[in-house]
Amino acid sequence: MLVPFNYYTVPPRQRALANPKHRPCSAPLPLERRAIHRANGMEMVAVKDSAISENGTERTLYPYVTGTSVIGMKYKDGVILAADMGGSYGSTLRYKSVERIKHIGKHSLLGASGEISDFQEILRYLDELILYDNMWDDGNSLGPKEVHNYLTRVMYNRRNKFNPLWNSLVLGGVKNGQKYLGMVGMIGTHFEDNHVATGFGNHLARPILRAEWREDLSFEEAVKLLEKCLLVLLYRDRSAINKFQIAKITEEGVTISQPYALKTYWGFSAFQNPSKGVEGSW
Amino acid sequence: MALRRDWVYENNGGTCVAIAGSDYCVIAADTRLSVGYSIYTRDYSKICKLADKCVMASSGFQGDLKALQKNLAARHLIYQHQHNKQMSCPAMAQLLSNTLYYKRFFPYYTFNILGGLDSDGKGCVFTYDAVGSYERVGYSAQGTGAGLIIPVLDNQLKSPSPLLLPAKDAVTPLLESEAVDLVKDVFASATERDIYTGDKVEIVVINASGIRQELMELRKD
Amino acid sequence: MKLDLSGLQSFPSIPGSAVDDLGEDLFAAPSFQLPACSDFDGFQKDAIQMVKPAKGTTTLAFIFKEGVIVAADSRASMGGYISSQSVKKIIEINPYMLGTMAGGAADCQFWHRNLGIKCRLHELANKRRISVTGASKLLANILYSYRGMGLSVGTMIAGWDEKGPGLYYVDSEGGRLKGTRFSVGSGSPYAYGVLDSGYRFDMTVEEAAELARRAIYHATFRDGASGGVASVYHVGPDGWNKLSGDDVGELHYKYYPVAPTPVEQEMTDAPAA
Repeated sequence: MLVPFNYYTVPPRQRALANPKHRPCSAPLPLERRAIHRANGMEMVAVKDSAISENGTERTLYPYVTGTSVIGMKYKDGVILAADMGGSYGSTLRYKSVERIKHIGKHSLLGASGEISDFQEILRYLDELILYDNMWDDGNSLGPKEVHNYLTRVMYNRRNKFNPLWNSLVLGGVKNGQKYLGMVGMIGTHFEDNHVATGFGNHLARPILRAEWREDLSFEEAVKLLEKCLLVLLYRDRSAINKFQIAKITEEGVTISQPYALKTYWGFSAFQNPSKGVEGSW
Repeated sequence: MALRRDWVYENNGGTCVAIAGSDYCVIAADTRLSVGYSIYTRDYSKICKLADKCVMASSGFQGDLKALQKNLAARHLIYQHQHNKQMSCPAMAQLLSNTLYYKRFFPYYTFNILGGLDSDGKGCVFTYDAVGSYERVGYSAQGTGAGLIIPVLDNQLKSPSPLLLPAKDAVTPLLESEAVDLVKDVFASATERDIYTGDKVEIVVINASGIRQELMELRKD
Repeated sequence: MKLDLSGLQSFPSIPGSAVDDLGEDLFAAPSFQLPACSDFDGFQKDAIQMVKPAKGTTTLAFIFKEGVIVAADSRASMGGYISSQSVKKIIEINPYMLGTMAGGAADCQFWHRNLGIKCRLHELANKRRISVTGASKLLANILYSYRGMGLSVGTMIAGWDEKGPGLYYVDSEGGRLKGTRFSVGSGSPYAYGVLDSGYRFDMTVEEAAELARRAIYHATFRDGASGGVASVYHVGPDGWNKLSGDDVGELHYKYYPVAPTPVEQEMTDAPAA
């Protein structure tokens, strides 16, 4: 047989497992078992296959184990990300050493809030993506912009299938001297900025970042600013825990810190007597 | 229990305005991206250049908006490869309408304006609803601030209806610079009263000499 | 043996990963994407509620001695907001046939354009123009196949074919009626009032156009969702022709001229103190 050049094929069994559509146990609870059949045989209508058309079920749309805010910003030599290590099961703090910041390929860092299992699945997709890209051995590598764009497509397409990945993702990176920082939401909302924060962070940390962030922040200053934000979140976000990881990415590579705690001060008068001076309704 | 489905959409706000003149077209959109009372970013461009003489501004749900803009840009690329020319603005307008309508049963939550020059070099503005009904007009506004802006544009620019018989000339009488100033004014005003509009306005002017872009700061509160 | 050229694909697909199947196929024939939720009807209702497509109308058409008259207003509203005052609600399917639009603006626009294409294809295939009966049935069949999916179309197909004037009413619920006098839309009760009281089969074209114009005007006067410009078309043996387009704001002064009020008592300047 004439073959233009050598190529590799993944055996079909492996393929089925890797494809999200055939994922064996992604749907926690099938709610309804009613498929829409009315579109069949209709002129000009083609049913796009999706989550429902396979078995006529709809995924439940609630997260189980979740992580809270991730914050990230650019600084002088790169991008820095921070997140705590809590994994909440509803209001229970179920897990306390969840790594929510991971490095992706050579040039990117990914931080996630939301459903932890979905994040781990995203990491599997990205592993595959990076591995496949590596396979070409052409000296090219996926940069943060490409990874961010890929994540955007994955998130948006999953929401189109009514089977979302329940996460907000922060993607930072440096490639060819270009710093990059972007965010993707659960349904595919995405943008870039000099500093970003998910969830509560958007309410509590970003005002601080907007006031104090500069392009030429040194690493030490950047860490100090992030820790200030983390502390505010720790005080006011009940899901936040005092065990953090900070990660930086520069042209030299990725560094993810060991877990550490911040020094807290709970002696503020508002904490001591929260209802002082409050007028009751009766 | 009725399943809550509202998670599939998000309103990220934003306002778009376009004015067509005899030989130019001004098309503008603010750069705020928000959800509810919080702002995602103050620097998000909602304007997309589709062809040399065709620009689109969109507001609504950012995910859909970007998917739509990328889809049209990709189709235009295919068109160029197949026909070795740029798509005309009226053709792009029909393509956008069809693209929106093919999502009739799962709509793109986007509100769009297409602006540019037609094959005679006259300014043209096409305005849409979310499922693809469209109309060629002299000026238009879409998005969260449209309700505030349209009455002002009606007052300043209202021209005879194209449906009148005998027909009357319906081109906006403004000069290009006057139209740009009017756009700046309406955005400054909309920013005062619409929480989803603000930060910056990106103004694109298309005329015979090409495309020009400018930015104006708006209130950030 | 077949030559395996898969390695030459310009965009190699990543085997078995989530990378495949991201986004739609740009080269595929266009198709309607359906939401992948179990409760289609509920989703449809919510989605339509959210995007509030333009609607609200008065349209009418009738057959008389000299052919068919078709008339409509030009307003589109989204809830209480008037989204346009210059909508073209009478669409020119071909030089001998017109369609009117009431209901969802996008639904009407898209399917009328689609009908126009089908009529042209019929003409090319059969070397003769499609009959009004045929065209209306084409549209009715399409709309019927989407019944229950939330389309909102109320239309009249009017034209002149080999059998003379033709007029059909077609809607998205699957209805298709042949008739000589129809009005469709939120302003139709008012239009019917004027139309029925003034209709005669043996009107002249001028009389018929004036009746249509007056009916549309009175509908816009009483129906908040109708307004703008009253357009009137005539279809005769030589095809359609637009007879008039008048701003209803100005028509008002034609039907209700401002009579100079007789002065009952002259005012005089108060005598200087």
